Amino acid sequence: MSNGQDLSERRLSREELLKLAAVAGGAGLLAGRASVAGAALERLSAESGQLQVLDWAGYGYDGGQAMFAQYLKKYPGEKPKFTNMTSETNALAKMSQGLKPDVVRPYVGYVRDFAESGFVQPWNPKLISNLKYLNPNMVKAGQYKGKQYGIPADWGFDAILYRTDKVKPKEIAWSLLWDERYAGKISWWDDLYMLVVAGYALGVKNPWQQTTGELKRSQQLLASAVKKHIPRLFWSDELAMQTAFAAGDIWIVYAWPADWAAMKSKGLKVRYVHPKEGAISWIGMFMQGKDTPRPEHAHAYVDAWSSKQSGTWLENNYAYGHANTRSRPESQDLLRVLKLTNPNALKEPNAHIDRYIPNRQEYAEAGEAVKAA
Amino acid sequence: MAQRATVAAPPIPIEERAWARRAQDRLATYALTTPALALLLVFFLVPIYFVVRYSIGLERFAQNEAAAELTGELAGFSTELWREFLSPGVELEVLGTASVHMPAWVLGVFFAALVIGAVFGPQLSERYGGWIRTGAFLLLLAPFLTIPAGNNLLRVAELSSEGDFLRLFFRSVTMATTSAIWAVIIAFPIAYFLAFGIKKSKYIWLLIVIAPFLTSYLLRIFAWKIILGDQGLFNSALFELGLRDPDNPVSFLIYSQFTVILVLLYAWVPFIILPIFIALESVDRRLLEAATDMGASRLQAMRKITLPLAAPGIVAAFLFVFIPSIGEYVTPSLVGGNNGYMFGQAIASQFVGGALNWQTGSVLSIFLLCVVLFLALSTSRFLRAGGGATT
Repeated sequence: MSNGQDLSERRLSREELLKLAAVAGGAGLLAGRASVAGAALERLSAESGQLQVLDWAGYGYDGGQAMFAQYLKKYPGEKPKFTNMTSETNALAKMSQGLKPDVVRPYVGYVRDFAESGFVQPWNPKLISNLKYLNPNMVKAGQYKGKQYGIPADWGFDAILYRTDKVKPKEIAWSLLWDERYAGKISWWDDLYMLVVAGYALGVKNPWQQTTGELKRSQQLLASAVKKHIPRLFWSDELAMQTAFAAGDIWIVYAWPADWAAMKSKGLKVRYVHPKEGAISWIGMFMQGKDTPRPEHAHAYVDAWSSKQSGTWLENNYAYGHANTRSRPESQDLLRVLKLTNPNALKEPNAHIDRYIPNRQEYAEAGEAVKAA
Repeated sequence: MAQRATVAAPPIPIEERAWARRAQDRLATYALTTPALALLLVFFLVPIYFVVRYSIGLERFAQNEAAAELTGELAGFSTELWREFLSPGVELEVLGTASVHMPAWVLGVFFAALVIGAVFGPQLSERYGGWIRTGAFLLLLAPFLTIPAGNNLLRVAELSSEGDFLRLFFRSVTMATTSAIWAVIIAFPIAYFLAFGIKKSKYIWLLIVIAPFLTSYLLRIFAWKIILGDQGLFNSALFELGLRDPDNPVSFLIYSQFTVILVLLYAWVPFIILPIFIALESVDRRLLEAATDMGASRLQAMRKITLPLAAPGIVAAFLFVFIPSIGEYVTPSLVGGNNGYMFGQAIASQFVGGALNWQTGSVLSIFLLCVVLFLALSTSRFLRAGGGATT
């Protein structure tokens, strides 16, 4: 059709117009995809490598895959790498010695410790789409100095589990853990929280910040029970404790809701009770590694964990609560044990939320003294 | 034609040949031992150097001030942690009645003297050497030897302290000593039977006896948990036989000091049969024949000839059980419960557990290492001396 004139100088025929539109559309499509691909490529190459997650046993490829299934859907072929932590102090030790996780999950009582350690940095809440569905009290508990250092994940209680066919408590109180009638049939958690519990039992004003004298009294209360051989076992491995409980070696134990679910599933007659002084409540907090080279992946991982699907799976399978308020377990018993219908179940006066202990080292030393009694 | 006389090369002096040979031997020795020495340096001496630095505050776990506040660590050279550990007094209680208080260093000097007496007794006095040795051994063992029976172990004397870690150390030494003594008492008859009772296929029998040692240690501990539990094999048998009410099992069997001692000696007996067997095998049978010819009874021959000659093997067997048992961690963690908590667990707690105080953990580790090294060095001389048969 052309008679030598330039396209810009003559009117286009319908055919030429359609051809040009097709070429322009295709170019635009390709250019758009290319730019998107370029951006993604830039991101990927900027966030190369596997996401490094420092988490507790049972939350990686050893049973917790459902919790980050949506992350894997978003980043297929980019499986996170997990390293286990056995305690918050264990995690700090690992990070101090060079481990640089992108994501770590201590519990709420250690948010301040981790925030001040220099190993973590705040999250960008805007990058976590499920944040709006998380329990606001729990979200607030993850803040330190106005920044969102912790994103709440799982939660539950420290309370007492006992066998109803063997134990007849005089009262539902923390003192059941050193009831002389059941000497040799009781197990304590191998952690300094036993001193907090002793503080509540003794009526200390603030068991989380006991003075030297108060801590000494708490220590003596526990040490005297140890000398009388009342607690048979200090458990640090939950599975070993469950094995001993199921075998009938212990009847009363300082436990978490998952332990109640596990023993119930074995057909034991058990009851999970909150002592009159109040149970201790805890919240798992995802924290982001300082200067992580994979911030987008880290946010996506936590966002996956925070979804309703992950929360429901956690409650059904691990018998812990989940911060997503839309998550609900199938079991009515679990609903009751976790008090999931009460949004303030974790707060005073219903429970004493785990918190920062300023003189934690004193507590740790007192705990060692109890064990050596 | 006259033959040209050949001039022989001057012979190399004998001294030079000997020197060359010695130099060659020395070079070969260094070449062969260098890898082992390098291994020792890298995986033992260098780490020990850093642990010592931690124990005196020259190194710390915390990487910044905020973390240091969390762990409460020392910021520079200081012997404070050592003083805290060793300053509490110790108390020696005898037969549950009389007790003696003393500083820890006094006890340390006293025990060091007893060890020297036990090792060098015959050299110190020709006339009373045997008595010195025997007395020193008994005094060393008295505070630590127990008869495990129930939760409260029966004992003649007991060492205690106001210091938590010292008290824990004494408890660990008690459990290690009891395990070692009972392991030797159980292993000796088996080794004696293998050495003197079996004529043919001796080493096959030895292999059968030590076969359990070839299986996984952890599996064996878990097996004991099943056997000793309140509803385990042993208690179930008692219930079936009507000897015990199901609501009243024998509870000290599991999660107690008894359990730790039982599992330790069970784990070590197959292993220590070997050194005792080797020592007994090396006893010259002609000495026993001569003793019999001169009218000695079997018991006298055992006491005067067999036991003294086998003493190095018996002491080695004791040390093979005692030394690793003091710092034991896995066994008390799995079956010790609260009652069987040991020194090794306290050290672990300082490094990777709730206590998280590497400096304190280093103090405990170096202390344990010094005790073990002192024992190993002093008794190694005894082993070289060989005891000696009496006539």
